Amino acid sequence: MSIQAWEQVKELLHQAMQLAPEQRAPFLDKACSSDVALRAEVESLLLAGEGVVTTRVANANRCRSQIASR
Amino acid sequence: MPANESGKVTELLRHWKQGDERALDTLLPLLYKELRRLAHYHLQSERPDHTLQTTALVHEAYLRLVGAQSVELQNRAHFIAVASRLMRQILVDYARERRASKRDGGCRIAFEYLEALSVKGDAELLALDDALNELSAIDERQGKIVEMKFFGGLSAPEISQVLGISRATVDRDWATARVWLHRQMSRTARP
Repeated sequence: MSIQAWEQVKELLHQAMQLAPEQRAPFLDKACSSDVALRAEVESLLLAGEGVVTTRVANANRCRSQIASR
Repeated sequence: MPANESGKVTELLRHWKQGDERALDTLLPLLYKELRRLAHYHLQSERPDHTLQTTALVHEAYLRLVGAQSVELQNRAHFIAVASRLMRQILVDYARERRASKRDGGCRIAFEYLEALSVKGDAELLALDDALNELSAIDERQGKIVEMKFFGGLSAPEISQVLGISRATVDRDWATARVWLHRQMSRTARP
C-alpha cells in the first residue's frame, strides 16, 4: 500500500470505528462511493478490529472464570 | 552505575532535547549497553513460564542511568522513546541469534496494550518486527507510536509530547495501527 492510500484508509477506518456497527455500511456507501478496493480494505480492517475486541473480551472472561474457580 | 555517569546521561538528554544531535550519538551506546545487559540478565533466567516485561526493563534502565532524582518529566519521555527503539532491536537480535543456533522457543514477552496478539516466542516476535517495519514504511509516525507503546510503555500524553503532535492524533494513529498490525500478523500466522 502506498503512503497516500494508507492515509485515506486510515482516516475512513478511524471514522468508521467511531460509529455503531449498523451505521458503518451506510457511512462506507457514501465515503467510498464506487471505489470498491478502498471499501474492501476498510472493511477488512474493521473485521480485524472486531477480532481485537473479541480477544480482549475473551481474555477478560477467562481471567474472571479463573478467579471464580479458585 | 556510578553517580557521575548518571549525571552525564541527564546532561546528554538535556543537550539532545535542545537540538544537539551529537548528544544522542554519545547517549545511544551508553543506553544500548545498559539495556542489553539488563535484557540478557532477565533472558538468562528463562523458564518455560517466564514472561519478559519489556517496559519494566526500559524503566529499570532509566532509573539506573538517569536516577530517580528530580529529572524533568519531559526528559524521561524522551529517554523512554529512544530506549524503546533499542529495546526492540535487542529483543529482535536475541530472537535471531536463538533461531540461528536452532534453539526453540524464546520467552514470552508481555507487551502492554497488545492483549490481542500473542507473542509467545521468537517466531511471533520476529513477525511483529516485520509487521512493524511494514507499517513504518507506509506511516513512519505510526511506527514510532507503536514502538513507544509496545517496547517502552509510554502513555498517549507522553507520546504526543515527544512527537509534538496532538493527543487526538496519537489516539487515532494508535487505534488504527493496532487494527492494522492485528490483521497483518494473523495473515502471516496462517500457513
